Amino acid sequence: MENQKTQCFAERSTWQLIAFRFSKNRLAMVGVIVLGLMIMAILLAPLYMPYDEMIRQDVFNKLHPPSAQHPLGTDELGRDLLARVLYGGRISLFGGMATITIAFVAGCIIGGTAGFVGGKVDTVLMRIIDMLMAIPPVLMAMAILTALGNGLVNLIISLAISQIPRFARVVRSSVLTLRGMEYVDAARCYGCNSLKIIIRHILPNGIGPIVVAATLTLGQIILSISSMGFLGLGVAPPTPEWGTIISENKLNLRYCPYLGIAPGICICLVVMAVNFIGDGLRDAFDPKTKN
Amino acid sequence: MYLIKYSLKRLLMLIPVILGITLILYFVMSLAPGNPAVQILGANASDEQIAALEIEMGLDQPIIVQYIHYIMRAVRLDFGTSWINGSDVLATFLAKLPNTLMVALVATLWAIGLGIPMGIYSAVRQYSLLDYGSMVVAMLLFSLPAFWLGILSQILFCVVLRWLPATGIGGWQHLVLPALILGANTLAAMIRMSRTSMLDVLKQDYIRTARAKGASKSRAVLKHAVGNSLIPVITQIGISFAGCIGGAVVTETVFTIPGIGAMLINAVKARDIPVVMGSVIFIAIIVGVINLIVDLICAKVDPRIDLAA
Amino acid sequence: MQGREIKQILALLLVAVLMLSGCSSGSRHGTDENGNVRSAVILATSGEPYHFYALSEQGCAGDDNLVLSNVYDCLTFLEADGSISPGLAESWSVSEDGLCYTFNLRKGVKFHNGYDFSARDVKFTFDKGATGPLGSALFVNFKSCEIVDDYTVNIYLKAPYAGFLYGVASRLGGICSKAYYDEVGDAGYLKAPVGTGPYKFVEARSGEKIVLKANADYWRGKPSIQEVTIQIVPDVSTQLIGLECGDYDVVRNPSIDSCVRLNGNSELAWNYTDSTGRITLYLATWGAHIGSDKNFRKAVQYGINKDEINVGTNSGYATILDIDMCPMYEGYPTEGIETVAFNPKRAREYLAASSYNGQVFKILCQSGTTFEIAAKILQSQLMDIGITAEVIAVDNTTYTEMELSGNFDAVIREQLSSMVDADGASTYFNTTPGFAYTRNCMYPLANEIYPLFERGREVQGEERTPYYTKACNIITEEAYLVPLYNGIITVAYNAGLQGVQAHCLGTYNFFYWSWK
Repeated sequence: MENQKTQCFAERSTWQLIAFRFSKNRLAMVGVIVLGLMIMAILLAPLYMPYDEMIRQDVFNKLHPPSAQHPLGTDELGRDLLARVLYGGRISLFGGMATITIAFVAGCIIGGTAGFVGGKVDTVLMRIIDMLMAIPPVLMAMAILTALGNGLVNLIISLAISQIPRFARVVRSSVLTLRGMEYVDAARCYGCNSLKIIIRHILPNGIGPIVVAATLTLGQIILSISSMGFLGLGVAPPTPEWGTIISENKLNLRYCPYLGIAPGICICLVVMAVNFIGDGLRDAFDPKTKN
Repeated sequence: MYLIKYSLKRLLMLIPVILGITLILYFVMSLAPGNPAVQILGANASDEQIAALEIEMGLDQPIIVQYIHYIMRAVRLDFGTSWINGSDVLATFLAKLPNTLMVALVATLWAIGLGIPMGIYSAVRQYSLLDYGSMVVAMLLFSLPAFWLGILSQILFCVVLRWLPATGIGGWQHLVLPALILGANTLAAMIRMSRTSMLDVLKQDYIRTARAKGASKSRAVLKHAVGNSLIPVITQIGISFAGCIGGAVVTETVFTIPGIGAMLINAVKARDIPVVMGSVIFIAIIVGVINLIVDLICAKVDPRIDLAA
Repeated sequence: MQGREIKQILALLLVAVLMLSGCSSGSRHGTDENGNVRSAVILATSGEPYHFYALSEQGCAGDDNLVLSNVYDCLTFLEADGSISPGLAESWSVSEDGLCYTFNLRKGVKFHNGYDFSARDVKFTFDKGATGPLGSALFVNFKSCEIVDDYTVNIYLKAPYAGFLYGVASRLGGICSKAYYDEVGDAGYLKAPVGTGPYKFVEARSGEKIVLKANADYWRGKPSIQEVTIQIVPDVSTQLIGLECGDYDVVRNPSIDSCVRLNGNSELAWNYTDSTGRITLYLATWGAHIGSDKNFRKAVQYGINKDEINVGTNSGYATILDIDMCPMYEGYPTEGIETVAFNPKRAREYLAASSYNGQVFKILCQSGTTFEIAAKILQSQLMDIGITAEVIAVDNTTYTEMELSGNFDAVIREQLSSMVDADGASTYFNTTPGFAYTRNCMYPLANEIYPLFERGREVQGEERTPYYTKACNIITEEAYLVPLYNGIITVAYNAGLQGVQAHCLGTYNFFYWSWK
C-alpha cells in the first residue's frame, strides 16, 4: 500500500509529500486548527480586550463568579480572569517556543559539531551530554534556577539548557547517518566546503526527526513552564501565566473552582494540540513508523 | 557471575559521570549572587562574624579549591549542611527518600498494570473503539498538568466527597491520589509504547508463521508476541520511573508529602545550595542505578542482548 | 470475550469505590473513630521552627516561638491580648529609677529532666542571652543579673527601658537549665532541649513535623492536650483543605479571606487578633531614587487608598494605621498626631510639582506573602495617579539582600516587634554607625528623629509620648513611609477544640487548649 502511494505521487518533491501526508492526518489537522485559533485569540487580544482591562483591579468586586461582564469571573484582586488568561497565554505559549528555539539552536550546534567533526571533539562533547542526561530535566532546570534566581528569562534559559542534551543527541545521530551518504561524498568531491555541505545537504535531509523532537518537546515545555509557575519558580507576578494564575488562585479554588478550570483547560488544549501536531509530523516524515 | 561483574563495571562507570555532574553543578551554583555567609547569619550579623564564617567555609579561596574540598568531603559522605536549618544534607535526603520512592513505585506499578494490557489490547484490536479510546486517554494524560489535576481531585475527593485524606503520609489511603496522579504520565507512556511495540512485533514473520501453523490469535499473541514486545517497554519503564522522581516535586507539593521533591523545591526557593547540590547528585545516582537495573532486566528477557560483550 | 472483560472491569471498579467510601476519613469533634475522647492535636503551619533552644550562636526566629513558648517558661508571660502576667516569677518590682528589676521566683518548679529550677538558671539565661545574637534587640540595655538568694534575682539595666518586661517575656527569655547546659553544652541543648514549660520536646523531622508531649508534672497543672504535632505544610491552600478534611485540627495563620469562608461552618471555627507588626511602605530617599524628591513622596502618601488595601488583603478586618506603630504598643502616642487621608487630587498636584517624569517606580516585597497582594493593589493605585509602578516580588534571600543594600524605590515591610513597644518604630532611623538596616538606607532627617526615640526610651510612662508624637509627625511630614495596616494573626480550628486563641506574637499556648 505504501508503495502504491509513493508511486502515485512520484512527481511530487519530498516536502510536498510530507505536507500531503500531514494534511491527511485528521488528528494533526485538529491540532493545527486548535493551536491556530488559540494563537489568534491570544495575539489579537489587544484588539478586543485592552491591556488596561487586565491589570485593572477592583477589590470591592473580588471573586465574582462568571457573569456577562466577566465571562470567567474575577480573581482575588477583582481582575477579569478572561483577560488574564488571554494575556497569560503569551507567556505560556511564546515562552515555550522561545525555550524550544534556544534548545534547538544550541542542540544543533553541539550535536552537529559532534557528529560532523567526529573524533575527539565528538567523544568529549558526548561525554558531557551523557553526564547532563543523568539528571531528570525538571531537576536540572530547578538547579539552574537556584543559581540564576526566579524570573521569566531565567526560567526560559534554565528549561532550554535542560533540553539541550536531548536535542544534541538527536541532531548528532541524524548527522552521523547522513555523513556517510553518497550524495554528501559527491558534494565533497565537487569541492563544496563543510559549511555548504551542512546547509545545502545535511540540514534539509536531517531536519525531519529534529523538528519532530522539537514539536513533541514543546508540549512538555509548556507544561513545565506552567508547573514551575505553579510551584512559584517561574514568572514573577503580576505578569499572568497560566500556571501562575492557577497558583495565585490556589487559596480560592476550594470555593471558586472556576478560577482554576479555564487556565487548566487552556494548558491542556495547547499541549494536546502540539502533541497531535508532533505525532502527525512524525508520521509524515517517516511513514514506516505509522501504525 | 558475569552479571555481578557487569553491574560493578557499570557502577564504576557511574563515578566519572557523577564527578562531571558535581563539577558542572558546582560552577553553576557559584554563579548564584549573594554571600552565603550573610545568608546563614542573617541581616543582623556584624562584619567580623561574616568574615569569620567566610574563612570557616573557605569562601575566601578560589572556586576550584572550594570544589576540591567539596569533593574530598563528599568522598567521606559529607555533603555539607543546609544553610537554612543546619541539618545534614545526606541524612535528611535518606530520611525523606522512602516516602518519594513509595509513591513513585506505586505510581509506576499501577501504570504498568493498566497501561501494558491496554496497549497490547489496542494493538491486537487496532482501529477498534478501545484502541481509539485508549489513544485519546493516553494523549489526554500526557497533556494534563499534574498540579492542576492534583488540586482539583484533592478538592473533589477529599473535601467534597470526603473519601480520602488530603495531605500527608500514613495509611494506603494517603497513597491513592498522589500515586494516581504521578502515574498518569507513565500510564500514557506505557499505553503508547506497548501498543507501538506490539504492532511492530505482530508484523513479524514468526507471528505469521505461528498463525499459519494453526495457533489461535490469542495464543500467538500471548505466547509469541507479548514477551518480544516488552523490551522497549521495559526501557520506557526505567525512563518513566526516573521521570516520576522528577514529577514528585509537584505531587509532593500538592499533597504535602515529606519527600525529596518537596525538600528540593523548598531548598530551591530558599536558595539552599548545599541541599540542591546534594539532592541532584543523589538523584543522578539513583537514576543511574535504575538504568542499570533496566538493562539487566532487558538482558534477562531478551537473550539476544549480551551483557558480557 | 469482550463482554466478560467489561464486566470484570466494572466489578473491579465497584469494589474500589466501595473500599474508598468505606474509609471516609476525618474524625470530627473531640472523639476518635472508636468514640474515645481525643487528646492529641495536629497543627499545620507554613513557617517552620528550626531552633528549639534560643541561647545558641544560631539565635532563633519568630517561627521558633511556636515551640519555644510551649517548651520553656519565661519569668513573665505575654498573654494573647498583649498584657503581661506572672510566669516563673511570682511577683516583681521595679526600682524608682527604672534601673533594677527584682524578681521573686516560684519554688518547686522542675525542668523536664527533673532538675530543680532556681535563681542560677535565671542568671545563666540572661547572661548568655544578652551576649547572643538577639541580646541587644530583646534584652535592651541589660547590664547584669545578680543572685540575691536561691529564689530572688535582681536584673540591672544600663539605662531605663520601659519595655524591658516584654523582653523578659520574649522567646529569648525562656529559662534554660544551667546544670543541664554545663553537662551537654550548646550542641546538646539544641538536640535535646529541656525547659520548665507545659510541653516536652519529643522529636523534629526537618520539613515534616515536630512532636511535643505534655509535661505531666507541669507547675500550673497537667495540660489537657497530651500530644501536639506541629505539621510543616508550606502550601497555605493545602492547610485549609487539610483542615476541612480533618487531616489537621488547627491551622496557624490562614489568610483572613479563607477564614471568612468558614463563617457558618459548624465544624470549623476561627478567630483573629492584631499582631505586633505593622505593614508599612518605606520609600527610598537615598542615591538616585526618585523618592529623594519630597513632592514625589507626598504624592505617594496622598495617592494610597488604605481602605482598598485593607479590603483586598484582609477583607477589611485589619486596623488601618496612621503612624508606623501598632496601637497596642507601650508609649503609642494618641494626641497631636498628624494624619494624611487619601486624596488623589492632591496626590496629582504633588506629582506635577515633583521632578517625576515617568520612570518606573519599583516596589520591593517578598513573594508569596499577603504584602505581595498589598503591593499589587498599591501598584494599580499609583498608576491611577500617574506613577508607573512595578512590583518586584522576590524570594526571601534576594529580598534581604536588596533590602539591606537599599536597592529599591520603595519596599513593603512587615515590621514585627516582640517588644510591643513604640521603640520598635525606630529601626530604620537608627543612626548608630554600622547598624545593618540603616547602613545603606539612611533617611536625611534621621539625625533629628533618632534622638527623639532615644529620649523616649529613657523616660518612663506618660512622659514618653511627646517624643514619639514629635518623631512620628516629622516622619509623616517628610513622607518617608506610608503605614498601611496593623498585621493580623489568625487561627482556624476544629470547633471541637476550646481555648484556642490567636496570639499577637503568632504563637499559641497549647496549655489552654482542650477537646470538648
